[in-house]
Amino acid sequence: MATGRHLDSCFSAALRGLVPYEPGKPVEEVQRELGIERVVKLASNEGPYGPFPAAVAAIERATPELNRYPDGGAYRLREALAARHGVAFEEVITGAGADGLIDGLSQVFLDPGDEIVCGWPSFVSYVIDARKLGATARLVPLREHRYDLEAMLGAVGPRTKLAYLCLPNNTTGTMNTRGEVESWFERVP
Amino acid sequence: MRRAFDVSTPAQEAALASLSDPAEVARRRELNAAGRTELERVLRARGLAPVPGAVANFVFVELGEDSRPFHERLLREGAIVRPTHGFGAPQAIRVTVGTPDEHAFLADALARALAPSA
Repeated sequence: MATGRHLDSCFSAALRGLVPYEPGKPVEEVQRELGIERVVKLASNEGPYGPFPAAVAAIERATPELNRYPDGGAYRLREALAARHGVAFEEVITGAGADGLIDGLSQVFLDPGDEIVCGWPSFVSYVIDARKLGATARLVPLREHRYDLEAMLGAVGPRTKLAYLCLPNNTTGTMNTRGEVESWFERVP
Repeated sequence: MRRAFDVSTPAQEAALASLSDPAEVARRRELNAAGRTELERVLRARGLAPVPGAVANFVFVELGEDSRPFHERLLREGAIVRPTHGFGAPQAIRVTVGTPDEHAFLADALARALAPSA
């Protein structure tokens, strides 16, 4: 139909190459679809014990003011994080989850034709957010299920704008040593 | 470049309150470590091999074949794990660390899913 063909041609070129990310289904949906009573969700790396009691209390205290926009600069939170980690206030950014931060980093740094480097298999948002912006993902196979930092150094090139070290790695849960990471920072261009 | 209001007030307040409770952080860390050990045990008891050296709140298991059928069988028994096709590992699953009760449920679900008639 004419309208459908026109709409298809409006979508950005970058969109065509994307495979949709399939997040885990919520428990209720699985119960409904399969007609089963109890469902245990171990698919999304959620903590199983609920927010801290202090956090629940803080959320309740904040509820009456939800008609107001949040603090876009997250001032008090960034102040607390900077103090805790011994860095400058300006060096702390907040985002809605790791995805929020990866999206922000990708938008700030990536032009079409730029490259990112990451291990693989690893966190898929690195790749999706790069491809959305017309950038290329150089995927470096894990070595024994761990990030292969030597091989990643080899994948860094003149068009590399972002290199992601997923520590611990999401999928495999493995970690690299302090020595390996320090060596990376000493040698990466 | 960043959307200004993505980090909500409840999220900011919850984060601040959580940062001020190091005792609870320590308690959760211990629960996670014990839970991860138990989860690995439950999986190995069924002949599955979680990748060693996992330090976070999830483990990774290679199945040697497309993991979607196994994920489906387990789903029908009420246990949801993550097939990692989207992450570049189509023959593996990722399983999150849960509570002791959830691990016991998973153990039963695995037994039924892996039974010869399943």
